[in-house]
Amino acid sequence: MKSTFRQSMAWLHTWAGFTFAWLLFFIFITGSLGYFENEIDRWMKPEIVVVNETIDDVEVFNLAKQQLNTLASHADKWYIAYPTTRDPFIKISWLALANAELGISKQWHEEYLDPYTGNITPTRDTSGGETLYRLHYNLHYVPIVVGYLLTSLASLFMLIGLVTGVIIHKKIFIEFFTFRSGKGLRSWLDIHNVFSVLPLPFHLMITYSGLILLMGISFSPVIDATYGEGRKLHRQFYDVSQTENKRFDTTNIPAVDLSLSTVLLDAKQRYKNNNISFLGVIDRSPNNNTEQMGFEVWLDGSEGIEFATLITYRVVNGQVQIEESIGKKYSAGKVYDVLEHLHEGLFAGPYLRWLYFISGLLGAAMIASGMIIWVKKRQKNSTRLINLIDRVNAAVIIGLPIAIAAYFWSNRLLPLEMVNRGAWELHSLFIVFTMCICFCLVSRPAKAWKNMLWLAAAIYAFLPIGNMLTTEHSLLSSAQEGDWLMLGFDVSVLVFASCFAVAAALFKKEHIAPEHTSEISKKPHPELGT
Amino acid sequence: MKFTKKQILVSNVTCRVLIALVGGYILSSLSAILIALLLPGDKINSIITGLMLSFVIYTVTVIVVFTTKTTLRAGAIVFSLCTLMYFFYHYLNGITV
Repeated sequence: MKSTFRQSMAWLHTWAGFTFAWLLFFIFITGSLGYFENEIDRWMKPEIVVVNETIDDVEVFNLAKQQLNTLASHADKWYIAYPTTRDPFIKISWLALANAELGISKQWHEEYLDPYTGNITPTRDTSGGETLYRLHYNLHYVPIVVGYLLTSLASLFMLIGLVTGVIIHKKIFIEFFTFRSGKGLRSWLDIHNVFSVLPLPFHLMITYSGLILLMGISFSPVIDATYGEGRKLHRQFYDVSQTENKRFDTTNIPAVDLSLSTVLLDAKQRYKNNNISFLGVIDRSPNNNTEQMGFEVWLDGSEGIEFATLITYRVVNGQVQIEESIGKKYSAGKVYDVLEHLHEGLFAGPYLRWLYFISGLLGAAMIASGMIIWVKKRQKNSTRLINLIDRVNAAVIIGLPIAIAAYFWSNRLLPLEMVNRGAWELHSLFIVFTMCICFCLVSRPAKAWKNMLWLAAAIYAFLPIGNMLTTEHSLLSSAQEGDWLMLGFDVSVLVFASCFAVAAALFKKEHIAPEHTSEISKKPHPELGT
Repeated sequence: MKFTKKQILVSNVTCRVLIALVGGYILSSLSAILIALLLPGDKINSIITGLMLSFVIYTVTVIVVFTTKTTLRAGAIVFSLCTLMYFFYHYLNGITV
């Protein structure tokens, strides 16, 4: 492409990064929020009553079973979620089977229990944390396959950007410790290096594992050619590759006595050191015939990056047998699991979870600084196109956080009885995002950046106050009640607000520094490539 | 008809992007299929290994396409590799089927 290898790579780095930068920024931000999916969920369902003291397993079970019996006697599956550190509340869920007469389709239901009264706590209709983080690969308004393919393509560009980025940096280690402030483009390049090099292992891991998670769709012709064509065979391929090795054991429970309560006691005896996170009944039959039912016990905590253990009790030949999975059968399944768990970080404790989140934000910052550099290098002969891109940069980089704040605001402000309330929360996110883009398109770039930063600071700073006015949760009451998730969310939001405020205050009106740009352009530099 | 310098550059870049993206996809799919067929051991393992490596092959292909001196040569490299693999795949199928 260019005369030297390194120059060609610099060109490729610039344009591979530029092509999907806005989409990648969106993916990194919404994906990072996924690491706090449960915590966001709790904030978006403020009615939930949290459990602060340790409460007896059997007591929880009795409360839950009572509700399940009345609400879900015909359901196919029952689950009781025990309070854990990330989800300190009791949740029951069940799978209602399709009923043609009543016109009901097969559907999961979930309800939260008040641990003190045993009653159902009605919660608002919300999209919650799950829908928010799913945006990072389904892109919401497009058909799901299009979302998968677009995010896969963007991730491939990201991977190319990372690899070429490593190639063009000769002194990658030294550059990590280099930051020259107040020098315009030079400073932006330095900060881009810091954002890229420090979390480089994370960036490579998250990009590659993200590609792997969707490889069955992006490279489906390969499965067609090697395993078989068609949806059914693809499904079979996934099922076979996920086959698990199982260990079987017998118990002393008499077959007639098999029920959730005997299973609970048996599991507590077997695993004294583990807490129970889920109890489940699968293959339920309405006549309470325990012969076919399976009883599941999920243990809290994880071993390494593996998930918690799942044990299933069933009646086999008149005897109660335990089935415990001990890892995947195929090594490919194991490798896939490792990559999936690394990507999702479900095994991470609070500290590692924060590290995951911050690394993800650093990835977004890397992309954002790359976008800013792209514009700055072309600003000298500022054409209308470059100006336009600068405006959209401001709209995306600052507008997306504002839109996410709007998502949280809509959860508190939309009327509770609204139809499709959850869907409208997401619509508000995208409406505000569009409004941000429109606002930036009509104002001058420098002004747009500054105003957007102040707006972001304000919208985040007022969020805890909005929370206080619309619910009974204030910073003080959360601290008093030991509702750490609610408090954590409100405090984090304030931290973000102050970050935006500091950025807005430091922002200089002429964010172009012409004297420095010209200085650099005299000295050829590999990074500056084109 | 004469082209301006800018037109030549634009068409060159477009060609390279197409070779890198489309050619790269075909090349990495074919190599994944070949890896899946040729690796000894369990079929599921080989297929997933092939799939996982396909992204590495894709990335390397894109880099090679953009480092090669001329666009024509880049196209020739990718095209010939694809053809070779395609025939090899059919040759293998002929034996196994």
